[in-house]
Amino acid sequence: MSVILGPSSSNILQYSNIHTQNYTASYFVANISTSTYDNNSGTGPTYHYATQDIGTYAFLKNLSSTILQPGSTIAGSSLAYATSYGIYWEAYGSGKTIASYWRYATGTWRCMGYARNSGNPDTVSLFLRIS
Amino acid sequence: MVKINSVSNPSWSDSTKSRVDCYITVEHLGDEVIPFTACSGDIEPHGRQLFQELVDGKYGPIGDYVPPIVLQPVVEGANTL
Repeated sequence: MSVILGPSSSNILQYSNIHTQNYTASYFVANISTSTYDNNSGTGPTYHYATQDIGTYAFLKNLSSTILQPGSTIAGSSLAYATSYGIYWEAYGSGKTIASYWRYATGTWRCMGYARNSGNPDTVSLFLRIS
Repeated sequence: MVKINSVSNPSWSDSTKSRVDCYITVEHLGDEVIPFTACSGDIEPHGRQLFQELVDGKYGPIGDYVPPIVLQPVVEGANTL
């Protein structure tokens, strides 16, 4: 089996599989439309996802009064970007610990772990944006 | 861009009226009704477009903002004198 990344300008991935013992062979060429080749470093496909894109994960704090279980969905307004300890209060400076300084999420997110409701210490979990 | 099939129950997410909460169904998730926060600053174009449509009244009046109940943090293991 071999996998060959095509010319940098074509975004072509070539895959071939030759199994001589069973006299089978397969080959295909696919256009990787969601990736680009980094011409500067030559390190292969580079995926361009930005924070809050659909399909990206984020470390968020559950601000709602509901305990979230794996698979549950929640609106972005009930989620704020956080550290593993919680919301990073120090980042906002002295006296700026109120909700208006938090960075909220948008769209819809699916909880990929457990997140207790507000008022508890373990309210932060991993979330996947689905819409 | 994400195709939104239905929108219901819009209400303001904050007192400054910069975001709107609602429930939507989208083509790629079938009939699942999901909560959604629409915002003019969303990185996703369907979020920005939906926010503008909501503000324009396409899906009816937007409900008032209801502040969440803020619960006091639980401090485990604290000593009380």
